[in-house]
Amino acid sequence: MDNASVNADTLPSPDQLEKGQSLWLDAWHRLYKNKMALAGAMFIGSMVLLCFIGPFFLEKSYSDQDLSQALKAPSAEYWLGTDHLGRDQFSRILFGGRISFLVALAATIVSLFIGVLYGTVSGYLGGKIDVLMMRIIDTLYALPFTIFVILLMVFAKDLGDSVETWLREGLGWDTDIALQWNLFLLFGAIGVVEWLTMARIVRGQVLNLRRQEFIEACQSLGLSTRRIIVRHMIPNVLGPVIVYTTLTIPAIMLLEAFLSFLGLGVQPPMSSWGLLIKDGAEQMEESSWMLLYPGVIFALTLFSLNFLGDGLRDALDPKTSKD
Amino acid sequence: MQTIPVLLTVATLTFFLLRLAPGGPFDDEKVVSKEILAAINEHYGLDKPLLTQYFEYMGGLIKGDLGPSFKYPNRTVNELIAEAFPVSMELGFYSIMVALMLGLGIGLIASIRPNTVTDYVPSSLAMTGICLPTFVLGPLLILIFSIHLQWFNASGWHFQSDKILPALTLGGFYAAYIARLTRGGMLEILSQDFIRTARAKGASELRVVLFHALKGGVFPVISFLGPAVAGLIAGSFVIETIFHIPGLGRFFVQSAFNRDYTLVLGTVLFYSFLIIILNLVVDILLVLLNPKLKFES
Repeated sequence: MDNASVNADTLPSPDQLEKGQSLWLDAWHRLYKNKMALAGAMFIGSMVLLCFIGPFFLEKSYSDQDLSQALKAPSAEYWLGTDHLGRDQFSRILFGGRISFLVALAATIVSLFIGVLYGTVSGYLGGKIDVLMMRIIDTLYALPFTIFVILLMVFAKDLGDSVETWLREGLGWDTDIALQWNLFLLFGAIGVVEWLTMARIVRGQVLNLRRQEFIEACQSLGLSTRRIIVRHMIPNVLGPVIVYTTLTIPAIMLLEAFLSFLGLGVQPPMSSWGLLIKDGAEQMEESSWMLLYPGVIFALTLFSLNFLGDGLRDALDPKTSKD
Repeated sequence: MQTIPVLLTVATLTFFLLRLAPGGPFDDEKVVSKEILAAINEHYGLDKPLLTQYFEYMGGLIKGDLGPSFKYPNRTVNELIAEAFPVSMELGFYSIMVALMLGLGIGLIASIRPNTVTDYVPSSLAMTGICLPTFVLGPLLILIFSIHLQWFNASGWHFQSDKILPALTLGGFYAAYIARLTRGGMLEILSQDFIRTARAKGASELRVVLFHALKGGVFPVISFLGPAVAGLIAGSFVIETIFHIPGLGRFFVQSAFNRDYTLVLGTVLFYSFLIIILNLVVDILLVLLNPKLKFES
């Protein structure tokens, strides 16, 4: 963010330098005042830390089965109980969170990359190319995308299975590539779906900015195109992009959990929050903790991410704040 | 219009995606001799070259024929959709009703006195609804109302009371979203000059909200209804699975697992058609409500 310090020596006057910083400082002050957004950020932060570091300190791994301990209620030994195969739920939730966050992060990066590139090109070139590129987006919008992701996942499962059998029988490898293949496709499939809105937002911003007077002023002052883009366009596009990115992450976590719930996403014995909720829903009559804990943690995470996203939107982009 | 090219794209994409998948629809059958498998493949035309199959399918499609199902012997896809869709439509209708009634109500209450208790409580309720995914809310409602309180059956689609929990679950998210949209839309309208004029004329607060502001305030809600339909369809996959409802959503998920090519293709096309048509209806509705839009676009 702080590119002001990087090219500070190339700047003509200190006035501009301060102006560049104040956007982010202002945003930070506004965010700091929004207690819900801050609480959300704190929850997400501790959840991420817990999910990524926590499993190293646990004795029981997410996949250790002990059928004699199946469906035990939460206790001192099993903090959040055990599942129908006697696996420690606490460890499964942490590991599942890791997978859910990773899927969300990877898919968001994919969608960010495609969306920003497509949007910038479309907005910057303008004219007929812009019309054509936006027409394509409109057409893609009309497609029932969740349905396509489902098809893609079925397809991916088949492909992963046959690659695995081929490796095992043909080359004698002992691999579980199908699992990783599946996860990899999950990133791809979700990312490919979610870039459309990002592209629209970026294009709108770029188009808007090109017509703004301060850009014209920069041009007439003789600033180089690179300088205009780096110093004046990007900071202005960045706000909405950051905001939309924070709102994409919960959307993608939701989609991942949705797919895993239907049995099309992350495959057992791996763990993900969607998968845990699915198992929980099947066992809820005797062991409600299997549904409650993953469900509540998942909902709280979505809740926090949405609050953080809204807070960021209000902080970075007070004019377009929706409510 | 865009309808035909979009449908053609969907049909082509889905067709080749399914056919390129390594598994065949009859791979899972219990051991059958090669001759029988060949006969089955011949019966369904699967032995012909891929392009021939594609053009034959497209030929049938023009006449509205979606072909025979691979997994339900002697049934056509048209029959299966005609049987399952009304159930999904009923569920969808109830859910939209739940969403509109709860959503508009909660949103209106929240918008009347912004940033007070009567705003915070409904607004947080709406936020909770948005963050509780259907596949968490559904099992939770079953746990509370079916297993503990025993008010409703946990699953099935036989009695009128069986329809309450699924409709609440599916409508819940949309109710929450509509509440937020209504609140946002109403706040924008309520701050405009013509509302001040109405108040200055001495119109009661109720009249101002219900007669003057509501029409403009629900505008975002109506434009949301188009995308909401696509979401309701996706939601129905989960709801119909959780509550064991014999609707099209469950059929679709099962047929995707079974590789019942023609049923998957038919359902995808049917859904796409539905989404496109309903989006069109929403667009027309928007222009009817706000003639300004006609000139802008």
